[in-house]
Amino acid sequence: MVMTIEALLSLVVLAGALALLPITENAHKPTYGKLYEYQVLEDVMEIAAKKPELMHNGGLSEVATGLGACVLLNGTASPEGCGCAGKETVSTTRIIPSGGAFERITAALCMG
Amino acid sequence: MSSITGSQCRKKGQVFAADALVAALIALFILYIGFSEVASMSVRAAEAEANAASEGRVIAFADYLMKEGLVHKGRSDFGNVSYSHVLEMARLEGAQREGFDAEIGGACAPQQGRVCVCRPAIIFESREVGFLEVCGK
Repeated sequence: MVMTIEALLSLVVLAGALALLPITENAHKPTYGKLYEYQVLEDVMEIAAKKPELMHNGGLSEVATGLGACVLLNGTASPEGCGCAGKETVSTTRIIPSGGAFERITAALCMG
Repeated sequence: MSSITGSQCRKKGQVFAADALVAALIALFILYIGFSEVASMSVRAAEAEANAASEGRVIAFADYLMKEGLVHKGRSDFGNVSYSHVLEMARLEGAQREGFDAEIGGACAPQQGRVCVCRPAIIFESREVGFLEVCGK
């Protein structure tokens, strides 16, 4: 088979470029940000379960502000006016005792 | 109509034709750029991986402190009980580990060059809501 040097060089460069592709694919690895957000939401729910008055006296707003997060508890935002529209959220649901009965609480959290 | 190939353009004693030389130079330049970029990406990937590993360790240690290391423990009719998310400041001294700094306070301040996580909790001594901050390298 006859091949010019130019064609051979082109093939070498192409082979080199293809060989480097698998290395570049590993450049972006996922981090634990989403896990951390979920843990923080679980913390908020645990605190709300242990001190239910925080859900009504604005105590959760202080917690959310301290974390730089927006917490939506049954659709009510803490701190007031924040929102998670257009942001990725984590969410959870708890059933907690409340005044001799049980209350279902749905919560969502987004950072920033 | 006759065509001229690279080999026909060579002078006697010349290994490369002029166009082959240009192609070779361009190919070498492309390879240099490619290798530089890949080397740079490899360094960035290694740094990101190291940060992710550090972040994972700090998150795991903070989770351990929240659920076992710092929690208030008591007795009940069912035996010994660990009250998760209720932290005793008195246990903080014994819970410190090499490479980590754990603090319980009213706020979390980000620290330059360190991976820090902030977890809300109830402070056992004051019964108030506070924050556990765990930082690591």
